[in-house]
Amino acid sequence: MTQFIIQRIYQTVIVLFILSLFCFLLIHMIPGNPVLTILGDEATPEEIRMLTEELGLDRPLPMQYLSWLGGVVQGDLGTSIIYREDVKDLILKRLPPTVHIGITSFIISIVAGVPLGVIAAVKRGGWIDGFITTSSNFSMAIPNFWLGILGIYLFALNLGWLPVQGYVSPTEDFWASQRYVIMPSLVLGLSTMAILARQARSSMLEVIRQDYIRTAISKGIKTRVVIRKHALKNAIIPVVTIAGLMLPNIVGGSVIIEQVFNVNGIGRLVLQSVFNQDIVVVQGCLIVLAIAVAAANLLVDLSYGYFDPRIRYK
Amino acid sequence: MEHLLDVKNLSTEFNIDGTHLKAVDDVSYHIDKGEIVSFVGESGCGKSVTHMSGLQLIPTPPGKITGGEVIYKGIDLLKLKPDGEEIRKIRGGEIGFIFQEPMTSLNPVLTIGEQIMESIILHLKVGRAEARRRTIDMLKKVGIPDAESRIDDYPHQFSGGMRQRLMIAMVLSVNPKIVIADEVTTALDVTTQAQILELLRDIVKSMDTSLILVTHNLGVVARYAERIYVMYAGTVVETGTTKEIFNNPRHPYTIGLMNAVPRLDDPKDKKLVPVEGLPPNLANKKDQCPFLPRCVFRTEECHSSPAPSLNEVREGHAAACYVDVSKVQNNNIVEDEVASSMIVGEQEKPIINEPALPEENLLEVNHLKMYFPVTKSIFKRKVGEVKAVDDVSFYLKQGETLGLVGESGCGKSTVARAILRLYNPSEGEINFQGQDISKMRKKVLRPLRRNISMIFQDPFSSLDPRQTAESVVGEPLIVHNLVNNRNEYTQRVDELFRMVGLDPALKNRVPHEFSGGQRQRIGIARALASEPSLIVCDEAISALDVSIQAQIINLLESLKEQLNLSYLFIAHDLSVVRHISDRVAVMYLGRIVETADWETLYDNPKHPYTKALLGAVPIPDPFIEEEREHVVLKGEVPSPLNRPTGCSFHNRCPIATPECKTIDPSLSEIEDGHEVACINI
Amino acid sequence: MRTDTSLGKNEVIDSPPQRKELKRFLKVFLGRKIVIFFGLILLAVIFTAIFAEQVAPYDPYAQNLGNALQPPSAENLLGTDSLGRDVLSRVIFGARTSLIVGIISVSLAASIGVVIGLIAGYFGGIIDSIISRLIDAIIAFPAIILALAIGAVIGAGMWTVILALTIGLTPSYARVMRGQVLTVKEQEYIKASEVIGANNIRIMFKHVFPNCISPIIVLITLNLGVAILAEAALSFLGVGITAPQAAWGAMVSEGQRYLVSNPNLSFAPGVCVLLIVLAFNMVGDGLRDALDPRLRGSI
Ligand SMILES: Nc1ncnc2c1ncn2[C@@H]1O[C@H](COP(=O)(O)OP(=O)(O)O)[C@@H](O)[C@H]1O
Ligand code: SF4
Ligand code: SF4
Ligand SMILES: [Mg+2]
Repeated sequence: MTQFIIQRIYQTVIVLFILSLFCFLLIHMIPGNPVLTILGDEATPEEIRMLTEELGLDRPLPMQYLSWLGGVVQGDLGTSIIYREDVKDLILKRLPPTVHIGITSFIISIVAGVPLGVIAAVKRGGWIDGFITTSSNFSMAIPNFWLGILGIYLFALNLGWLPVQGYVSPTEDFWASQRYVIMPSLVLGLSTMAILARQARSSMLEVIRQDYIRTAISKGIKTRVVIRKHALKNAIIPVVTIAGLMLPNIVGGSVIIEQVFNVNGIGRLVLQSVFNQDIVVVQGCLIVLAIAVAAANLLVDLSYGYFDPRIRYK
Repeated sequence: MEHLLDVKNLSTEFNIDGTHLKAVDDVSYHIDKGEIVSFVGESGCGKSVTHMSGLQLIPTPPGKITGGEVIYKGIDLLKLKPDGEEIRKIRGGEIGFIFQEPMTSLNPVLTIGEQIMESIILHLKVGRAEARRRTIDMLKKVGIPDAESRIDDYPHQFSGGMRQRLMIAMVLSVNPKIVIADEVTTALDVTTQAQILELLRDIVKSMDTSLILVTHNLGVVARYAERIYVMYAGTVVETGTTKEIFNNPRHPYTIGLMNAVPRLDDPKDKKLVPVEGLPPNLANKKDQCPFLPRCVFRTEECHSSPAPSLNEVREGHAAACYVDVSKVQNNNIVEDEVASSMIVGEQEKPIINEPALPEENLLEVNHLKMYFPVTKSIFKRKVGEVKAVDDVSFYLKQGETLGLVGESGCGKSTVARAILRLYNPSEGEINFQGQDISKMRKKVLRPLRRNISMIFQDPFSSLDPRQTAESVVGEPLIVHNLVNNRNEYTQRVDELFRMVGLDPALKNRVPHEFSGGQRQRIGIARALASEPSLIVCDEAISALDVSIQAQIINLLESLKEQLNLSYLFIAHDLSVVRHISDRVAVMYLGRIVETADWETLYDNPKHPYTKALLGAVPIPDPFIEEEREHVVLKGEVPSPLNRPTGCSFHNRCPIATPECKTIDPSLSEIEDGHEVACINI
Repeated sequence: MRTDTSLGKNEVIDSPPQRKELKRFLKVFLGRKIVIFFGLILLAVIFTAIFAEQVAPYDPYAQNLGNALQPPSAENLLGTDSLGRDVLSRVIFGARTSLIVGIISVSLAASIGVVIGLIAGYFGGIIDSIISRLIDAIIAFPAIILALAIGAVIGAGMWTVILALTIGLTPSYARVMRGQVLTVKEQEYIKASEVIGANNIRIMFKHVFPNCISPIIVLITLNLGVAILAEAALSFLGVGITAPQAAWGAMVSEGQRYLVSNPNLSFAPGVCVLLIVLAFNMVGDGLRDALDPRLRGSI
């Protein structure tokens, strides 16, 4: 198990290294002189010189990278070109709604998706299976931005059940916060839920065919117990893998959801900064998101140890 | 008298994509208390489905029990609800099932203790503490060392043989009345097989439980069974007591099976008589004797009549055949020469004056070592070595067959793969036709590969599923530029097809459209294509059914004579190796422990391991088996990672002395050509 | 005799192999009505996209401010947008945009990914380690955000979308291909070719590659849906296809402002995305079941 953990941490570090390199190089990928592009044509030579210095663009590349990375490690993500504000503060301010909605939707998608898939597998061929399978096919194909708009149109504008847009922190007003968060979370988590349901269904079907299930049945155990005790524990393992792979989906989707529901989270910050060509902020957000995804992924991977004794005892 | 289990006219079908597969077709049998009854037949003949049907364990759909009764204690089990209380009490509680695959039959995420206790709590209605105590007792009884601590381990922490013991413990822990053991030792080595079957027999006899032993191995039947049912194509074709059947087989298929298997006590020149033709196709069966296409005794009557049913030929002995084969004389109905040999039982091989073997060696392996590093963690730090092959030397002359035997994991295949340079040997020389190829660069080696071919174990995975049989067989011709044009290519491929007894008209088929035996013939044709002087056969017949094995063995033997080939014949089946080899080497844990010509090795084995191996092989003859002493080799093959000190066999050796722990014996010649690695002989 | 080779491997079949394979494939693939239904939808969409000029009732770019924001009517079946353009015609041209982006990016990703995966899987060792970590890195990162980053650098536009999608999708092919190669490479028929003396190139292309390709075909179909979905999202965010070119995502976004008065402006293009993605997914599932029953339920 320790070996497994060490290996996973090592892989995570390598992945983060590659991503940090990418974030860092982003600014250098801007065609022509990045400073000119950022400042526009009317920039004075003085402004150009200052920004060049501020970005450290006058130093050799490896040096630039190292000092940038050093900054990142110490929590210094630079200063926004547009807002003239510390990127770290900017991100910290925008983080809570994103985390709130993201975690809510991830939990919903697991808690709803996995049981649905298991039920579909157990009732395979029946109408429940048909219904769940069809719904998950639709859920995977629905564009989430459109679904969000549809939801606003129906539940907010027409029925008036939920607020149209925006976000309220749970510390401010817990119940209001739930009303603001529920729809974005559902919309964001829907496709993940569908994918998990499908995966749970197929891995359950796979497990049911295994020899050890036949053994369990031949012992005279009730079907219900066979499913719950013998099949589920095995079927869940590949589902965990897929759940881990879905994390980037949730993070990426938050950009869209925040735009649709007008939530001032990291996703919107990235989007605005892209339009503003505020590369430093984009860089900062990117690296923070990368670390978040990688860390969450690591946690998911480590939970394997809990589900699969073959890893625990290696 | 009422039988413990009485099955009448059981039929089961599988319906796949519109074709009906009659897997079990009107099968009747009974089991009495305390009996050991065997079901024999080749794979796919319906043995497993028969027994799973009785307990309603068939997956439905596609399966469907279409008729019959399974009477146990006066109740017809087929009338019970598949998941109902009543049948679940019998399933597991009264009739236990041990399956073939020990590696996959236990749940990987539950501890073995949990899995065994589950049964006990369910059927014996005892508390957890009591169940745990009984589990530990049972684990001890089936020979799991440190039962108290190992009860909380998971299945993957046990070897295959151990897992089969666990299955036995699980099934027998609830005192069932009947145990069905479905090919329980097929996946295991001979010494483990002997351990498991002896254990199983001792336990069922002590508990007065009936045992249904499902197997394809006639030796196992002869050694353990009291009564037999022979199955073919979903039907029982013959039944009787073991001695009666072996003494006086009455169904042509039973006779065919007995003549097809090589035995340890055969005269060397016995020619195997394969059951010609293909295994039956159960789809859309006609009402006709299912064995008809392969039967050498068939008459006009067989063609025109419906499928024969079991007919008592003597008290307690019944066969499903229209012909009384015991009365058939050499010439009246017999259609060809093969049949006559079936009746005579054996036929002398024409004695050819074997040409004197050449002086120089075709292949000479000197001190071959193949170590695989065991790395730990991401930095690939080496923490140890698996010494898969540890200082192996042997030679092979043109026209000679060297048999290499030993249990799985002893390094046989590694030797083969090193010789073929699928691995790069760690140390040692491999002199082939006078050149050392052990360190040769792959590019330089490639042209030489023409002269060494290989026949693989698995006829299903060793042929590219996307290539036609023609391009499989023709690949060596193209790779080595052995033909000049399309015409020559076609001719040569056709010739190769004919050499291995395949119709060239089939050459446009893809491999999965051939049967197992046919596929292996394709593999042989490919091996012959480049006209090699050496063919390495790695378990080349192990995956085939017995009747087909004989066909392939005969083919290999006749090709060898025609083409003056040399074989390195690797197998775990000692009888087959004995049949085909000129000289034999026995391997244990990466070393050769004994080598001699076949006769010396089998008649006068010296190394205790060789003796144990030979003793573990059951002989398909109940009379001989009755006389034989069954010494079971204790323990398991140690991991090559931590080889025991001194003689690596010392922890299992029946004649070990204290010195064996420290002295590492090397092969020494005890008489001309007979070398043994043991200090105590 | 260790393996009990049961379960019908032994039958010998009489019709020639190619025909038989094809027959089985068609039987499974066309055996499901739903697959046929969505297959026909796909064909219809592709046809419409190719002949957009002929199919569309109006010029999708012709503005008519006097006729803006009309509800659906006989002249304009789906009404008009804020610039008075015919929504139906723009939806039809939007199909072309979606398909172009999807097809180009998926073909690029598949070709690059397959080669990379083949190399990583076949040669293993250090090359494999490097490629695998790169794949991990890209997969661990949200593709949308990757696209945004690229957009930040080179600006919005169709080629930004294509570039981002290509980068985002390539790892899936590389990973699947690598996994396939690792499995196939261990098969005995590969060892058999090596023993015969076949060289790496021959083994790779004659034996490994053809045996790895089925799941790739399935993945291509499924990814066409993924790509179209992502393009729509990016266009919705304003980082993708830019005005005046017709793109479904952008149309949803434009329509959002008139949600109360003219909901069909957003609804119509959204339905189109849903339908075409659903169609690709269903056909992909059908293909998977038909090409290789063992893959059923995977990916
Ligand atoms: N689950 C199944 N689905 C379809 N066919 C099956 C299934 N199980 C067994 N069969 C078929 O039933 C026949 C008998 O199989 P089996 O009883 O396993 O033979 P044996 O145990 O004698 O090797 C075979 O032809 C096999 O293909
Ligand atoms: S009935 Fe005829 S064909 Fe069948 S086994 Fe007997 S002799 Fe052979
Ligand atoms: S050396 Fe000792 S332990 Fe080894 S085989 Fe001989 S007697 Fe047995
Ligand atoms: Mg069987």
